[in-house]
Amino acid sequence: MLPSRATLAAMTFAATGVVAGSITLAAGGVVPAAGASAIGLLDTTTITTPEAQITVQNDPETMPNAAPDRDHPFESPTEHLGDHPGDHPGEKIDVDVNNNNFDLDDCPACGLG
Amino acid sequence: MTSAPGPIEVGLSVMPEPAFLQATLPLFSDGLVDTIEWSMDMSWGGNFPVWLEGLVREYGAAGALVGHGVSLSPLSEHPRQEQWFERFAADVRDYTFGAVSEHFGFMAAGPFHRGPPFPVPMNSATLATGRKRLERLASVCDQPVGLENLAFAFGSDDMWNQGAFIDALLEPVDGYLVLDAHNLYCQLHNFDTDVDELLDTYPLERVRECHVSGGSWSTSPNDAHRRIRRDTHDGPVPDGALAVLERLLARCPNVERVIVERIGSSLGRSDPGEAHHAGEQFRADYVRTRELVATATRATPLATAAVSPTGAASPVGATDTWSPGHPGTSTERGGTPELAQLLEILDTAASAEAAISAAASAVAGSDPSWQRWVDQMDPAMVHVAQELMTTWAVRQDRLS
Repeated sequence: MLPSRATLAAMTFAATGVVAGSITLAAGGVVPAAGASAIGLLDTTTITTPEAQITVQNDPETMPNAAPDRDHPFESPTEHLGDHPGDHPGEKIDVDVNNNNFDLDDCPACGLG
Repeated sequence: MTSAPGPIEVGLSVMPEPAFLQATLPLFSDGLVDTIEWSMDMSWGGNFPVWLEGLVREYGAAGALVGHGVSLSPLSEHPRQEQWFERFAADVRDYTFGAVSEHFGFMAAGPFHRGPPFPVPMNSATLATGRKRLERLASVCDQPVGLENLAFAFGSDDMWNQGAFIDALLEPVDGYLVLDAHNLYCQLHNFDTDVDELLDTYPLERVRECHVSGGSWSTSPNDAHRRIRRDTHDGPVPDGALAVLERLLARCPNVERVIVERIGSSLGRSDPGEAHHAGEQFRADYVRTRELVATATRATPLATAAVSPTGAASPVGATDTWSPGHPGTSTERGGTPELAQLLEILDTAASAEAAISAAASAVAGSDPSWQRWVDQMDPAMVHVAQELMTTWAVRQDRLS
């Protein structure tokens, strides 16, 4: 069977530190260190974890069948964001899932490492 | 249990570790996991991540979730089992199990709360204990209940007698047998046995579920050339285990699902490259299993109708008085004190030979079924048992 999109999103969320599409941080929300991710299957999904509620919007034009980089599961934008939670409430952050060598200096939210 | 064979689903035993999720996510994403098996009691300590709970709920709602207990210790009696059943009852209220199984053997006795599952003396007393546990399991979950065959055997009698004893255990609840291909593979190697001869001792009509996994090797301390196969779930699935699975499918007419197992921690090595390779390997094992199941020759009820463990003559004398038609004697003991004493001996003896000698002294002049059981113990296997105790046993009076 094929799990629902929400379940797959939650699994991907926990499995990888790579983000596909856009993330809108809930006001005051915290992105956990494990990161958020959506794979090409996703359009828009809200992921709820004990730590955060995150809306993941995938753009199939630019992120088709994007695969997480499992060699670097936690070198991700969301891990970085998790280091200073609450700094970016309500911001929409575009992240390139195909960037398998994410550099913390490239944080799309603040550019800080 | 004589219905025609239906399609066999293939699934995963789900683990909470991130490495397991990372390795198996592509399988879920591709819709290749028909069913999942969840060891609910392994989550009771809090190791139940959000993603896993979501998966368990969704597969449960789809009728594709089976439970597989690890720590009940069905063939012994222990006070902590009350708490086990209370927690399990809560899970039954929260999640939708299609069936629930546990493992043949015991691990809890006296001060030993947890540990590796070991065989028991197969007599009328242990049969009564096991039946009570299974009847309670069935009453709590109100679903089919099953038992999985055990890989470990102290000696070859444990191997030859297990199938018929499981049949007797399952009979009152009309339970099902979880036949683990790798567990059989271990025994085939450790006791140099033929697969069909061993399968002849099992109630093959009861098999609704098969498992397959990898494992590892131990070396006998007294014979460097003798390797002992262990069901550690931490390596690739060997071709030999898949060959056993193929025989199971050819001989068991009522198989409904095949579950592929691997412990999550074995997929999360410290070296990322190694972890990546282990994940790929596990996915390949899973796909290989799916392909085997899809193409395997299936047994029909007619082809295996003659297979009955109650009529099978064990190659090594299975003369214990528990056997169907023989109610046993009042002198047979299956009590927890004796099992606790055995665990104590395994835990403290300086060597396997010393352990066997101590066990023989403990049962001398008492219950003949226990004496026969100790007589069949193989020092190399007892050595493995001692290693398992060192690794896994949890002794209440040593907890800080």
